Parts: sequence; structure tokens; C-alpha cells
Amino acid sequence: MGAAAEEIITPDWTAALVAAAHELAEVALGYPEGRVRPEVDEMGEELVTSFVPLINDGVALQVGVAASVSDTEELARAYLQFTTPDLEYEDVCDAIGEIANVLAGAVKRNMAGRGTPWALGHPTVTRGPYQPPAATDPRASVTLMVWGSVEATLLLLQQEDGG
Amino acid sequence: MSILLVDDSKASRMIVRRALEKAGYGTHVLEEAENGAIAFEKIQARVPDVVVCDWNMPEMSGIELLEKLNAEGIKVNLGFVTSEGTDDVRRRARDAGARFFVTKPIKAEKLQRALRTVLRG
Repeated sequence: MGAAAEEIITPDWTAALVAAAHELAEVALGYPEGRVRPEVDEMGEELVTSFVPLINDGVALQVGVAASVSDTEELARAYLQFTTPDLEYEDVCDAIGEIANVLAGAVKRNMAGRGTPWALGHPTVTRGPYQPPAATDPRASVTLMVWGSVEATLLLLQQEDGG
Repeated sequence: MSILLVDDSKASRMIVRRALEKAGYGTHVLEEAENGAIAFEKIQARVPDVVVCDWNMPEMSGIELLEKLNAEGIKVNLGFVTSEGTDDVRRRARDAGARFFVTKPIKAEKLQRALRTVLRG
């Protein structure tokens, strides 16, 4: 059985991602302490999702964040320390991509020293309908973070990279 | 003093710029480049006092930029501000002569300490 068939995403990975989100919120977003909600409600129709791949031998993990358009704009504004609402959509995408990048880098750091090193890829940001995997899917981790009125879903998805 | 910011993310360049301003470097000349290849051209034209560089970028990564500068014999105070941060990445940066290594999310105080160390020589 190849590495791609193994289930990589253990609770350690989820904990690493949640720790990364707490650090990001405290240092870069200026948000009060976040709450974790392990159960994710039905997500809205229109979401902005940002994923950054972590690649190992034959396996790719996607580290992602998904949020409604308005919450994504709030996250971008907080990250860029913008106090005015006039943020271009291109800047929102760039900021949410960078947020996913920082999360993925922190996950990589937190999980270092466990087997082959993971390589960090570049962010991909999309907007539209998104259905996260079921909570019971062993090849995925879905965690809802709540910071005040802002909600974002943290995602870890395992996939074969074809390499 | 002149500082060159190298990062493919405009958001990240904005954040580093703010951190530099908070760290007291806001009045210095800040130039930007979107990847290592563009930065290399700018550095060839005029060597800045400090280069604050991302690690992962398309076209030419930060470490490729530093290794190319080394190969060309161009001496520059280059350090990394990156979401990377594992021991092997830090070691590779140090071996190539990076002057500092700051992980994202950026704390202005960390960047300030790093730049002070570099500028003290």
C-alpha cells in the first residue's frame, strides 16, 4: 500500500491548524480569543476559499480557510489593518491567500520532525459554492473558528498529488 | 537607508511595510519587488542596505535569489520574512548567508530586533 492510501490527518494535524489559527488571530488579526466549534453548520452558497498545498512523497494536504464573502472581507481588513471598508476584491483575495499561507506554514512548522519534510505550495483562492467534506471523512478535518462576529472554517484535506 | 521588500503577495508586502513603520523604519526608502527575479534586477542596478525577502515565490524563490547573489559575488544584507520556519529551512538560509529569519505572522518587535542586529554590522 502506497503512502497515498494512508490516512494522514490525525487529531495532531487538526490541533496544529487550530494552534496556527489562534496565533494568527492574536498576532496578525488583533482578534479576541477565538472559539472552536467542531461541528460546522450548513455553509452558505457563496464562499471564498483559500487553499495552500503541503506536499510530501505522493501525498498532498490542502490547508485551507473558507468563509462567507462578508467574513472574508472582515478577515482581510483585519489582516491588512484596514479601518475603512474600501478594500478592492483583488486585495481581499490576496490577503485571504496570505492568511492560508501563514496557516499552512505554521502547520508545517508544528508538524516538523515527523517523517519526510513537507513542501509548501502557493495559495489558490476561489469564490463560489463550496461543500466541505463530511465530519466523518477520515481524509479531512473541518473546524469552525469563531472570532466575535466573524466565522471561518479551517480545512485540512488529504489528496493524492499524482507525484 | 534603503530597504527592498520582496514578496509575491501584495498583502504581505503591505504587512511588512506596516511592521517596518512600527519598527521605526517608515521614513526610509522602501522599494518593492514581486519575486526574486525582479529583485535581482533591482539589486544589480543598486544594492539596497537591507533586503527583506519572502521564501516561497514564483519565478525565483527567496533562497534562489540569495544563492544567485552569492554566485554573482553581490554582497547584500538579505534576511527572510516567511511563513516557512522549520529547522532545515532556517539552516539552508543561514548556510547561504541570510542575516535574519523572521516567521510570519510578523511581530514588529521581532523585525525591529532583526534589522537592528543587521544594521549594527
